[in-house]
Amino acid sequence: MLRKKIGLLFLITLVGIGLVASPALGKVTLRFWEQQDFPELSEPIQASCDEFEALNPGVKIEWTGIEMGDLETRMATIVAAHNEPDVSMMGGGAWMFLMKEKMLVPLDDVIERLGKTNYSSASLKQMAYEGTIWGVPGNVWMANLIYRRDWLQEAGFDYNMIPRSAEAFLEAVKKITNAEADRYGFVFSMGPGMEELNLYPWEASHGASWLDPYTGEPSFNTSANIAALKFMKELYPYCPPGQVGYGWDEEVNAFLTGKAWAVTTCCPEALDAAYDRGLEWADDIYSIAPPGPVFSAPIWFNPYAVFATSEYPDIAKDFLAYYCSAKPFARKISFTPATYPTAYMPTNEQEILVENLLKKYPQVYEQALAVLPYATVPGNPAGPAPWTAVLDAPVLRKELYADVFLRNVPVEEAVAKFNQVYVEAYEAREK
Amino acid sequence: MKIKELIDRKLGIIFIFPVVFIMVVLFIYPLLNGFFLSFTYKNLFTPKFKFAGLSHYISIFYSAYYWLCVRNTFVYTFLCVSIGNFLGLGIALLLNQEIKLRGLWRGIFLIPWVTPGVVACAISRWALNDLYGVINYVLINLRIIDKPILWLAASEWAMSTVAMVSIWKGFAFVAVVMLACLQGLPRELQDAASIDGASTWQRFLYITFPMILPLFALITLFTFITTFNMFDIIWLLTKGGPNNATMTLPLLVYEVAFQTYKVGKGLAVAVTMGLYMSIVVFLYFKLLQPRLEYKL
Repeated sequence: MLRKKIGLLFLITLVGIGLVASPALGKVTLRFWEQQDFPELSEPIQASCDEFEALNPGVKIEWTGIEMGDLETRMATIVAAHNEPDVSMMGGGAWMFLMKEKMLVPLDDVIERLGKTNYSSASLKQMAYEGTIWGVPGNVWMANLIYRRDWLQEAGFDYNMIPRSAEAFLEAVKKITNAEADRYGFVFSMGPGMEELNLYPWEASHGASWLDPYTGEPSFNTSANIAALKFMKELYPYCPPGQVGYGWDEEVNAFLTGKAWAVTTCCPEALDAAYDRGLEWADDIYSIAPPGPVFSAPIWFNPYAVFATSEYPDIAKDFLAYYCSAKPFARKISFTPATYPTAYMPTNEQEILVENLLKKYPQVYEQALAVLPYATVPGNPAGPAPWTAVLDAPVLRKELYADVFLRNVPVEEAVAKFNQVYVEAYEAREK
Repeated sequence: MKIKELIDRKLGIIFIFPVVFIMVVLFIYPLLNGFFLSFTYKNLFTPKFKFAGLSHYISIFYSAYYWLCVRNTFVYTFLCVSIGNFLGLGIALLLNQEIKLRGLWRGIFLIPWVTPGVVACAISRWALNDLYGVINYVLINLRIIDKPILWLAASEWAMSTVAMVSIWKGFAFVAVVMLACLQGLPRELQDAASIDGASTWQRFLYITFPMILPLFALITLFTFITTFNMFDIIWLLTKGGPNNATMTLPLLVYEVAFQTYKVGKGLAVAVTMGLYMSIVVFLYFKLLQPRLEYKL
C-alpha cells in the first residue's frame, strides 16, 4: 500500500513538472529574438510581451535577448539548422539574403497598421524588395560628432564654437593636433570590420550614397563619394597613427583618455562613459547631432521580420504590430530620429540612455529637439538592397580602405575599382 | 568454443561501436560532406545549391589574396613553432634543474597556457596599444624607443606581434611535455659523461637532445598543426589586418564562409589547408620519423 502511494506521488510530481516545463496546453508559443545590448532593456521588453499575452490569453511569448554583435552569427546558425524563431530582429547582410530568398513573411499590412507615414522613406526603402516590405524598421544607429570645447580655447577658438562645415572642422582639427604632445585632432577606427561605421557618416555628410536613390543601381563612383574619401584622407594625418588597428573601444577610449579632440560615435555612450568616470572635463564635451556639419547620419536600420517557417504567421504579425507600438516604449521624442517624431521606437536602447542623459545633460535633450525636423535623410548611404548581399562587401570595404589610406592609391582610382565590382555584382544579381 | 568465439567477436564490435559512431558522425561525415560542398555554390542561409565543379579551386588558386594568406600562414606557423618550441625546450631544461622554488617557477610558467585565449588577447590589445599601452610606456621610459611602436597597427610589426602573443600563449605546453620527457631520461649516461669531462653543452648536444628528439619532433608536428589552424588569437588581435598583414588561411575561411556567406568557396579554402597539412604530416612520417628513433 505504501509503495502504491509513493508511486502515485511520484507520478503526480512528474506530471506537475511536465505541465510547468512544457508549453501550456492549447497555448500558442511564439519565439521572439530581440536585440539586447543593455540589461536595462529586459524589463521593458518583458513588459511588452506580458501586455500582449494579457490581451491574447492563448499566446505565450518566449523572447531571447541577443547582442547585436552576435545576432548575425546566431541567425546563420539557426537558419542552417532550420530552427528559426517566429519573429526576430535582423542585422546586416543576413536578412537581405532571407528577404531575397523569400524566407520571410511580407509585412506591408503591419506597416499599414503602424502607420506608413510614421516611417521615413529611407527606412521603408531599405525594407522593400520587389515592391513588398519585408521588415519593420526597429532601431537605427546614429553617428554623432563629439568634441572637447576646452581644447578649442587652447587652440585659439571660441569655447562655444560649433564647427558647422567640413572646412571649419578640418581647420580646427589641424590647429589642435600636436603629435609631439600626443594630441590629435580626430580619431576614427580603421581596424578590420570598422570601415562601414566610419565610411557611412562621412559619405552621408557629403551627400553621397552607394546606390542611386531612384533606380537602386550602383552609384559609388560619384564626385560626392570621392569628395568624402578625400576629406577622410585629409583628416588621416591628424589622427593617431595607430588607428589603423583600432576597434570601436579604442576609438572611444582615445577620445576619453584625452588623446583625440573629436570622435564620431553613438553620442550617448561617450558622454555617459565620461560622466561615469567622473572626468573633470565631462561638462566640456559637446555633441553635434544633425544637422551640424552633417557628421551625424543614420548608419543602418535594424528591422524586425517574421520568418516564413513560423507556424503562426498571423499571430506573429499581430505581436509585431503590437510590440512596435507598445506603450511602455512610447516616447514623444526619439533621440535617433530615423523615423519622424514617433512613438514607434520600441527597443531603441538610445531611448533608455536618453532618459539617463536627460538628468545629466539637459543640453543633449535640447539638441535632440533641434534635430527632429531634419530626420528625413535621403537614404542610408550604403542603401543595402538585396542584390548587394551577393557582394563580398566586408572584404571589399577593407580593400577600399587599404587602397585609400595605406597603399596611397589615388582616391579616384580606388573608388572606380570598388564601383566596378559593385556594377559586376549588380549585373550578376539574378544568377 | 565456436559460439564463444562468435560472442567474443560481437562483443568487441559492440564495445567499439560507440567510438566508431562518434568518429563517423563528428569527423568522417563532416569531412566528406565538406569536401563535397567545396564543389558547390552552397550559401550559408539557403539549403539548395548548384554544382560548381572546380570553379572555386580555380578562382582561389588564381587569387593573389589567397596566396598572400598562404604565405602569411606559413610565416606565422614557422615563427611560432620554431621560436615557441625551442623556448619551451629551454624552459623545460631550466625547470629540470635543481633550482630554488622550482615548484613555484613551474606554476608561474604554466600561467600563459591556462589563461583563456580571449583574456590573453584582450590584455595584449591593451598592453600593446600605441597611445596608452604599458609596453610602449615602459620602453619609452627606459629610452629604448623614443616614440610608440605600432605593434598591431603597422604592417611591418603586426605579424611579429601576433606571433609573439601566440608564442607566449603556447610555449608552456611544449615546456610541460618536454619536462616530463626529461624527467624520464636515465641519469646514468649524464653522470658517466660528466665524469668523462663532457661540458654541459656537450652533454645536452650528444646525450640529452638525441634522446628527446623523437618526442620533440612529434610535439613540433602537433604544434605545427595547431598553429597552422590558429584562428582566435589572430582574429582577436588584428582580424587579419592591418592591410592584410596577418591574414591567414583560417581567417580567410571564416571571411569567405561567414562574411560573404559563400560556404562552398570557404570549404574549398579549408580543403587546401588540409592538403598542406597532410603534405607536412606525410613528410614527417615518411622521411623524418624513421630517422628519429634513438638506439642505445
